[in-house]
Amino acid sequence: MKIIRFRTKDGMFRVAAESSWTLHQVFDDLSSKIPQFPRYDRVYLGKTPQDVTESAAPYLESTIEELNFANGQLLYLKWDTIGGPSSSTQDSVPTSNPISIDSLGIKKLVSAPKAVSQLPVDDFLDSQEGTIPRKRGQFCHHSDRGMCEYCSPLPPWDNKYKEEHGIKHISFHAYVKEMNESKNKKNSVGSYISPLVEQNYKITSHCPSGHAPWPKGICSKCQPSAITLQQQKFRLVDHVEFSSSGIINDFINCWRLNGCQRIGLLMGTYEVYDKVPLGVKAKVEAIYEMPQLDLEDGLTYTELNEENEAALKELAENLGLQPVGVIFTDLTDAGLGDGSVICKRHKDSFFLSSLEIKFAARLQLKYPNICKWSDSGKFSSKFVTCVVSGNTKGDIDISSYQVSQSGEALVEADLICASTHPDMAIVNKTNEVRYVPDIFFQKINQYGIQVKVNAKPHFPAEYLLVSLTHGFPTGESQSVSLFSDTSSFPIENREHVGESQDWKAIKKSVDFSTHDLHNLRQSLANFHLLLYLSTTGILSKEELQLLFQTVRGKEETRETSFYKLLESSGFKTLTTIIQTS
Amino acid sequence: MFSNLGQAFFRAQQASGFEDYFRCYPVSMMPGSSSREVANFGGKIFLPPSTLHKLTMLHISYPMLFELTNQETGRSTHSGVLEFLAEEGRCYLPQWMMSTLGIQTGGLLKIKNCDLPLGSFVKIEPQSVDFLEISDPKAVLENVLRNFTTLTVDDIFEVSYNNKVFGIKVLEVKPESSSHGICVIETDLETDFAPPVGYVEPDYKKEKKQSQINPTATNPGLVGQGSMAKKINYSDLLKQEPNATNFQGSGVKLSGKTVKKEEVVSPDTSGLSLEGQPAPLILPDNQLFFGYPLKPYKGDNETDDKNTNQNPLFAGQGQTLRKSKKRKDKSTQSTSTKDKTRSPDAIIIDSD
Repeated sequence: MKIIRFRTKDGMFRVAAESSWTLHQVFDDLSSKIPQFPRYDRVYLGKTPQDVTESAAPYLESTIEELNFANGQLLYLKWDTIGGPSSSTQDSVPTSNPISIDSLGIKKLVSAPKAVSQLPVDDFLDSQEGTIPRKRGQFCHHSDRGMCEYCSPLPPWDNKYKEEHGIKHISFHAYVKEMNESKNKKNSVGSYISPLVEQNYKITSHCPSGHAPWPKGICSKCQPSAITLQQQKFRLVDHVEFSSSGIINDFINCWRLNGCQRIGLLMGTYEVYDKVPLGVKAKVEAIYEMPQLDLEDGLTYTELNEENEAALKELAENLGLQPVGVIFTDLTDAGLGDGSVICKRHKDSFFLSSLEIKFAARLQLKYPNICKWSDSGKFSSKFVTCVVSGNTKGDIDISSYQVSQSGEALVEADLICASTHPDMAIVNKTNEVRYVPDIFFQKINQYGIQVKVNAKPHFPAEYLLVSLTHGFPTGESQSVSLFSDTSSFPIENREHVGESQDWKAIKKSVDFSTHDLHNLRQSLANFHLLLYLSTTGILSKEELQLLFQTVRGKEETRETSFYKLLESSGFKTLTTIIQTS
Repeated sequence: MFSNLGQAFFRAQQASGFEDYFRCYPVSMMPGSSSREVANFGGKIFLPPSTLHKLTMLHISYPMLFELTNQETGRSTHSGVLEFLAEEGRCYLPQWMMSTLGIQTGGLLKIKNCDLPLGSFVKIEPQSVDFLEISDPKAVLENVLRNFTTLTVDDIFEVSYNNKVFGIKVLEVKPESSSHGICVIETDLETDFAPPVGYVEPDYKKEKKQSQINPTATNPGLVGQGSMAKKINYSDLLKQEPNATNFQGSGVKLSGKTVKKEEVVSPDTSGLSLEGQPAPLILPDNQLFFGYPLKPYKGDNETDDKNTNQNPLFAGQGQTLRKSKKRKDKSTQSTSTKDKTRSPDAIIIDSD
């Protein structure tokens, strides 16, 4: 039994080896002690610290006896850390500086924003400077041709501009530019630090420092640091625009009929919003109401089955739409007989209950925002949550919100829980599955000083929210809604209030026998009707494509597609069925 | 009947008419156990049988109506007759009639038979606001006036309903006549009500406003009692540990007697409020719940009013005996000698 000592860069290790052990077996023992022990053929041995050049590879099968190691012998070990897939970078956290190896085996650090495909609106806004032009101000003492600090263009993240115009949060692209300004311009050209880092509050399950995962062990490297909750300065989407008030009216109509709340998926696109510097708006074209069970104080919706989900996705893609948000009602009639509703959500009660915040965060995690400026390729989400409820005057009004990125991270790490008090969120306790770090939030206490308060056991949930504005297109905006208002085809999943989708309903809303083709085309441009037709299977795939093209796209293509559709056999079959039903 | 009336009237005019004096007593003093209550709240009196004989001799017109006059006060009223069962020389009147006439028990009353026109209209004034509590005054009056034969202006007759006595004054009658009375048998009487004595007109606008600010009474969804709340057992979640205190366990008495455990009163389920600690609300991913207890929106002016209206418990300035060192105005005190320029410690005079 010989004891051999090995001195490595990780420290001194002892191996009690039998004489008959091979070097391979000795290294086995060592690798259980040294977490990042490399492949044995890459290890170098040496008797003096300067002379560690002998590779261990040829000696792996020789015994200790043969190698003539004395008892208590000290040997120096060395190995290459950089390069090779067998090194220790298996479970490392992805860094912002991916290492790329070109064909010559030379490693170089590539520092650039992630190569991901963003939404067109994001690409457009990235290309914009976003500075706010100013005219000659009160303090300008120069001629018209000159420019001073009082009339030079403002950066899009300027605080004073934001307060003057009542913008609660700066837009996301303005924030990215601000971060880039502070992090990347000062640095040399070579290195790039991604301005956005996604907060991750989960404990890393395989910590590089080699201890057992939670709950058996923890160290400062894998433990998530203390979280300070703050209002998010920016918001991913600034405005929600409903392309016509009829969309909302039809949605609320279900509540008017049976007094129960309703939920729907907002289908639309993201576009540039010009009222806010570098702003983004979500343009809602239609509301898809999924199958649900409604009550006057709650609702349960069922996830779509395979084919309906596929049909919805296909229709959305063909029309250039995507899910941009979710909308639900929380209306209670005030009993005054004039249609006013009770104001339940206001600054003294709550805006979005903790349950709804968790719900919104889950949906935001499902539809992430692809962003090249983030180290992980995605950052938060553009998904919005809208509530139809009573405002302080008693009128039915819409409020739109998004959950902040740290809120999403809290929900992903399962650190918070909804509570019976809607304005409070409860912090979960640490257990075998999750580790809950300290969470603080800033508050102005009774003495008027801003202090950090521990968020446990519960904290005001509004720290996780940002609010958005909403509106309808004003006369001046050029965008025309994709769908026409005229069609009165009933909305899906409303059988319980008597509005069902069947051939009779189609007959009522679309007049197939008319000679006014323009009118016919208009009445076909209804989201719910298109979805219904795509599920019936009367029209073939090509015919469905033609149908979708009549709704979307340039005017000329729309007309030609429409005429082709009219000629198609499927459409003629459809017309016959309708007219004979 | 009318032709008969005309004939009887003609005949009555031939005879002199009935007129007599009686000692009057309240109905409650009448011997016999017949239902005095009904009689006391009616408009008919008891007369002796001899009166009946006289009246039949005289062939008077029916119904038999009498004018009662108290000679001392000059007050008069009219009434019908219930029964001829009184003792001779006596008549028994309802209590209210005695007070209307202002006559004492045993006083002398002149009773004369008379004729009254059939009434078409009467205006009455309840003497107390309690009359408004009656849900259907029309039906009550119809029932009660069955016991009355006549109504005279300035009568305050009493009726009993639901174990309560209501006084009602007759303000005016139609057709008007010198006797100021009407016969109310077998006639349709139009009734007009004057406001009861002691009635104050309520402020309708205020009432309407008050009723508006309480929709929680009608809507269970606003107090955490809606259908979804029941499904997820929201009220139980909210009320968990209502009696939790930091000091658990029972107490011990030195005397050795057992400490009675307080009965746990079951909490009132009608009003859930958001006091108490928040409890976790765990629902499946696809469920949303809106039925939290309502916190109504208070307009900004209301909160301001509240602040200004809070009367300080102890108004007025305080006084202190000790002269505070920290008084703001230091003009009364000597000026501080802290940082003033001082003359040098030693003044060297050049004596040369």
